[in-house]
Amino acid sequence: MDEQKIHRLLQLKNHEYPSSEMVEEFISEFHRRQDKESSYRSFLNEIKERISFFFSDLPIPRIAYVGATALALCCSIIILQTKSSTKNENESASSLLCSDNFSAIHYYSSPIIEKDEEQPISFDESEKDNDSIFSSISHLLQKKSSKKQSLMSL
Amino acid sequence: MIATEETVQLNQSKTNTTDEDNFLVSQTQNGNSKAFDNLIRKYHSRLYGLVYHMTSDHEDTNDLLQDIFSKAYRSINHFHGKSSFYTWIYRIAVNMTLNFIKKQRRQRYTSINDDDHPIENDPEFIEATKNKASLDPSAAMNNQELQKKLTKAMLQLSAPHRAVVTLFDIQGMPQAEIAKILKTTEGTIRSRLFYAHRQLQNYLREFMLK
Repeated sequence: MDEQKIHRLLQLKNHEYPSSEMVEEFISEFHRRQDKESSYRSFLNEIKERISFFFSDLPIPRIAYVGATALALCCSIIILQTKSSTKNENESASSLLCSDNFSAIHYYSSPIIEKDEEQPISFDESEKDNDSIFSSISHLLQKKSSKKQSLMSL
Repeated sequence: MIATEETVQLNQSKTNTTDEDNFLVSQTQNGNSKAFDNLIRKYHSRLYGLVYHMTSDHEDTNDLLQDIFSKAYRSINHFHGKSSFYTWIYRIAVNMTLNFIKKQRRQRYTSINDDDHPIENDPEFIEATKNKASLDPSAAMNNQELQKKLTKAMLQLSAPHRAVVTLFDIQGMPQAEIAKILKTTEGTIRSRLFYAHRQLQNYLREFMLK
């Protein structure tokens, strides 16, 4: 089979065309799709216009946008850093817990302080002293009162 | 002398077509959607043939054609007439079909012959093959088989080669026009055609030996 034969065979495929009815169906389908697309596009445009209108009314200086962007960037960096640090801490803690050496846990718990045993307080000796004090005071008072009485009698 | 007259007639018809297309395009650009309907009516069958012979699937062809025409409709305001509308819409069609094939990477071996448009019942096809088959049933059978084999062989070609074969061999477009559509040189088109034909010969050799 030479090139000419192949060319002739391929030319026969040129007769494979759709019917004219199919074209009209195709056009109506095309219009249906266009209407659908245009309605969807108009809805999007309306939203865009409303958003732009809302922002155009606000008295925002142009530097504010730059500032807001810088602020957002800083915030995002800080958040990312804190996230990464907490992640690292969690990873180290989990690695310790996973390890077989459980004694390491003790370092994280507070140490137990052993207190001295408290002794009961006895008042025996002091009671004795107190009694002696009280008795001496009462003795003196008695003496004073007897002296007063003797003087009165005079 | 006759050849010169024919050439003049061909050029005249070409300019008439271009003028008509330009008129319809300007009407569409001014918001007349009916004018674009006429452009669809004019180019639907040719573009259908192009896309179908590259994809070999009716549903894909219909969907792709819808996308092609809607893209053309959307960007009709960007058409300034540097090339003819015919070249412009063909370029859109070829590029979109090549992208589709790249995305899909699937090869379905169904032909228009097997589906709802059996080519063997097409009067034009019967007329065209009458001389070859000579009303011999075995020869007719062979032609049908050969067409099926040819469809399969076409699907074995790469997408750019298939595009060139479709435009040149099936649609009968001149190589210069194909080069314009694909934005390449005529030399590239010739080499692609040569390679594609050789591949098709190799695929069909087995069948011809039987």
